[in-house]
Amino acid sequence: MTAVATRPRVPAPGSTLRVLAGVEARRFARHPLFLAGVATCVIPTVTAANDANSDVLGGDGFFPALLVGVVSMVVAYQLTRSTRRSAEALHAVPTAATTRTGALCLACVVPAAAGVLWLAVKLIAIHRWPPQPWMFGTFGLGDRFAILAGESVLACLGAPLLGVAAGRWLRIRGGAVLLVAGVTGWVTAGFAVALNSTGGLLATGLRLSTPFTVFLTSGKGYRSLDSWTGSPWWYLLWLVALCGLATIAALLHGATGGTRTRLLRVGALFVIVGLLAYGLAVTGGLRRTVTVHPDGTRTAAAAR
Amino acid sequence: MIRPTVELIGVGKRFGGTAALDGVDLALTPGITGLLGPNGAGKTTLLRILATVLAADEGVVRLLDHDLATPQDRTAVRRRLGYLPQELGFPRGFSAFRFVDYMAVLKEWGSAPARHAEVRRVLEQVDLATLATKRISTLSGGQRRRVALAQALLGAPDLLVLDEPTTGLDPEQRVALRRVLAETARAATLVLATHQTEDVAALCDRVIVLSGGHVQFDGRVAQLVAAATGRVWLADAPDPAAQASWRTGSGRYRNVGKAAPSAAEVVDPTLEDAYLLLRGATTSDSIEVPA
Ligand SMILES: Nc1ncnc2c1ncn2[C@@H]1O[C@H](COP(=O)(O)OP(=O)(O)OP(=O)(O)O)[C@@H](O)[C@H]1O
Ligand SMILES: [Mg+2]
Repeated sequence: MTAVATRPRVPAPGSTLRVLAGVEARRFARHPLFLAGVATCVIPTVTAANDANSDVLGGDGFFPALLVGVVSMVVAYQLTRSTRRSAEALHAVPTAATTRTGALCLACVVPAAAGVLWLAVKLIAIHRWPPQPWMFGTFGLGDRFAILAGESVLACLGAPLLGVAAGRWLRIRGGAVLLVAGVTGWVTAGFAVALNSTGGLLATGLRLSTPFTVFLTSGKGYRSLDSWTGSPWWYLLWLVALCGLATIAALLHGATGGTRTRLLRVGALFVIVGLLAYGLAVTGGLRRTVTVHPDGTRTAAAAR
Repeated sequence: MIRPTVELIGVGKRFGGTAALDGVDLALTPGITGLLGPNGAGKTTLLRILATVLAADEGVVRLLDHDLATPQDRTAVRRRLGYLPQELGFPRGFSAFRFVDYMAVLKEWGSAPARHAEVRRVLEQVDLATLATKRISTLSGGQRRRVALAQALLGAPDLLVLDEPTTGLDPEQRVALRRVLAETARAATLVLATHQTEDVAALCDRVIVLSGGHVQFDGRVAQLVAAATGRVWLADAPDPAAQASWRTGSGRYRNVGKAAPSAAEVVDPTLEDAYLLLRGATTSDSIEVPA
């Protein structure tokens, strides 16, 4: 034997969470699927950067949301499930299940950071190669930021958080497939309803209930752009609340006693904030879809 | 008298209609205790309770001076506990080092240099130093078992709960493990369940035999073996009066029964003989050992 057995000192509160979050973040950052998603996302980001005709606030955000967000949701799900086979030993360690889940949630800053990077590249590109003003539709500076941040940072954070929650709660084979199908189906359904309308509370409500949406779409050949209904800032806050709820849902797995009570309280707060933000997102902003033309004129969107 | 480190009073555990444990009383002190018993006797259930993984339905469980009533109590016990489950899976893609390091983080080693040194120490104890960076999925069954053992040894626990630690290990590794366990048990309470009576004979001061969720025997190994003196004999044929008999490598039959016939060649009993006698095995389940 080479070394004498030692024993760790009882750690300061939160220090195990910090160390564990570092471990999980490294696992996330090195996950082949995550790396492939990020690598694939780089291509459209770079090609769109100096393309004057690119969908400035529209379809571009689809790439980080799908290639980083949805892919990270699967990665987070897999990472969460990966230690399940060692569960029997994990139940006998001093670190609580909620701490392990918390570390996984904290590791979701890795894909979120990729989203931040995408947002930074996008903002720099807009600054460096400014699109014509009409290409932002009806949206001012603040709204533009909220739209882009929602499509990138919040999608890249929220999707993996949902992946962690699903990894903790789902007990079925092929859970990841079901999760992806569920989320993309939800987003697509909300979008499909909106595509067939020019506004109205129901269509806006359905579209903005989903965790990913666009606020600006282009017609064929960029001859005009449609600015969609709803308030981008309140929608962003709704997304923040959804992230919070996903985290609480994940942490609630295996939580008991006081921890569970505290989590439920914070969860209730997120529900209230979320519903408020959602309501304001649906009722705020544009009431009807507005078409903006290259000469700057605005018309009510044609009925669809 | 030394205060017991493990104390169970009237402990019961049911799974649906099955009473896995029923009125188990135990008091253990530092040293190695072997747990024997047939399949389904309740050994794993008992060890899971000692490892704080499972809560008893009834009775009192005190471990290392804590009852397990509050989460704080359980955490305090877990800080001084090592547990090897009967079956342990590993996260896909992990190497032995990474897995044991992951467990070390969960066992509250914060500082990476100290943690890594401890991980290397336990991997060396189970003779896996050279295989530490190999993926666990590419290791042999016995090597995987040693990875599982390594995580239990982290931090020299005061209470070490091992469920069939030697399963799958080759003879050399088993002997090496006995050395490690004997050393660990100088300052710790070690409970191990096994079907290998020779491990119990070689390692344990004390043996507990469980049967149908009850303690059938609790005492010193020598005591149990002594009870079989004069009740094991060799003969050229299986003795119908024996409780168990089997053909040995020499071609002769080893008989274990209530009493050896007067002219029989009586031999020294082993713990296995004593265990079989205790279990009241019959000739109908005699074991054939090929020559
Ligand atoms: N999780 C469970 N659900 C239902 N029944 C269980 C469970 N765990 C154990 N049992 C039952 O409890 C009894 C004791 O099982 P246990 O695993 O403790 O036995 P054991 O002595 O460890 O057996 P073996 O030598 O085969 O490992 C058995 O009848 C078993 O079927
Ligand atoms: Mg067992």
